[in-house]
Amino acid sequence: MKELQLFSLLSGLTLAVSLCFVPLSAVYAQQKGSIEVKNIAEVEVASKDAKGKVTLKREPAARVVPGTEVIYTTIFKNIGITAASDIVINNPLPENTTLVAGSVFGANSDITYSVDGKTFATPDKLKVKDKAGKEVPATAADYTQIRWSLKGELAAGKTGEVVFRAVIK
Amino acid sequence: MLNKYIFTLLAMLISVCGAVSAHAAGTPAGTVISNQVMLGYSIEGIPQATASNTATFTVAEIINVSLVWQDAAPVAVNSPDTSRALTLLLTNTGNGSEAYSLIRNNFIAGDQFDPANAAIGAIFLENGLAPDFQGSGPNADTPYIPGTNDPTLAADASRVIYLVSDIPSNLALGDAGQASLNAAALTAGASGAAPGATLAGLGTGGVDALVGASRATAIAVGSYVVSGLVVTVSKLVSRIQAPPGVNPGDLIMPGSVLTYRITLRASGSGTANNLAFNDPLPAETNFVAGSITVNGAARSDVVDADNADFNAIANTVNVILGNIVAPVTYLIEFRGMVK
Repeated sequence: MKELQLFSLLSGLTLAVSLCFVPLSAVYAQQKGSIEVKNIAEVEVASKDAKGKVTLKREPAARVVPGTEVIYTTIFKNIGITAASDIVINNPLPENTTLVAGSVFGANSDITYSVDGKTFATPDKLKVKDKAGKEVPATAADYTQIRWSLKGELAAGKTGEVVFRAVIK
Repeated sequence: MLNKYIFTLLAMLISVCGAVSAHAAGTPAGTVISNQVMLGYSIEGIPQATASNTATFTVAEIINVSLVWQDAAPVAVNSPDTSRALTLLLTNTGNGSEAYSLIRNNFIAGDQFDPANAAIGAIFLENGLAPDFQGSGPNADTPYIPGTNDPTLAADASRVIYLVSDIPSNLALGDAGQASLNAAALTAGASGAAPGATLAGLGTGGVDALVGASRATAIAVGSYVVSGLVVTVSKLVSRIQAPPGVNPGDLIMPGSVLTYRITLRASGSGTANNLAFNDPLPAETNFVAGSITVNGAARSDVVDADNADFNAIANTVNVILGNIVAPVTYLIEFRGMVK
């Protein structure tokens, strides 16, 4: 009996060690089962109808030039059979883009930002240093990452989405 | 905990890809913009993480150009005059490499005369060897030959272009003459097209090109003014002071102090740039220290904030007048003692 206990303890230890060395890609393959994430980049294209009414239509991002606003939509779906909790979505803003102030949305979520890629906080708590080395409040242009922390659970079969806009520098 | 660990690692992996660079004209055409989302979650208390697809697109080229006349004021010329340059600055304000054709127009309405294309060439490209226009010599700028040396500019780059003119004779003082330069991007279909027009596959490196707000073309007008500005210098010995104990008179002998008076007059109108006056003393005289005056005001002998000095090595009096606006007259005086 004592021997069996020791055995199970040992195997548990082995499991923990081996988990640490599993390559990240393998971790995904193994865990992809439950939530599927899709990332879409779109632009708004204005079109005029016969009466001259302008409507904005979303199209996949193409012919994007400096100054163009790109809409990023992240759609996530629980494709498993169990509800998922503690959902955290992290988006490192693409290089050569600037986040559009007031463009970040996500239902039922706490949204925080990072200016250094390490610490996340609400906009009122984020600071950056200006050219003189003085600490000043950060603006949307200083943010390098967005994090959405969803409240509650995502039931099996349900989808959710978060969105932001970025301008090409 | 594992959730957070994987998360941070992923974030680090993504953030090290690609370096930040700043461009006034924006992100260069052909830059690939990628974005991947990481999502962490728990199933029955077990942390998991997954990554999205990478959303990717390539930045297209925007074709824009600006052309600005650089001279601060109409360029002062005489009538007739030859090889007088108007200076313009051509800038690629798009985000890709672009070549431009240049067309000159001498027939602008609202002026009193039409400058003529200079005999040495109508348009010159600054070759970077020496600032300002040089029509000849070792630093001579490059005559523009359409279709042969159309200037090609990288995004954000600029090139100085000269419109070089001969000025007709018998013009009146104050007459103005204008000439314009038109620069047109050479990407097929770009010049004059509506802003937003798409040129599929014609951008830098084969990306799509879009015509910008400038319609891929720019025009700038520069002007000349007949100023008849002439600078004349006259010099005389205004006073001879005999050595102590000798009767005053016109006789010059060793020890006589001579006062030199130089009248420098700019007549007509316009601006003469970087005017400097240098007067070497005769070898038979010694400069009298502290004797320089300009318009009656004393100047020190050393090179300093005042605009005059005496160079002992060259035995020369120097006065720097800078940019002077005609009509104006300067009176410069200094003294020399006969050896």
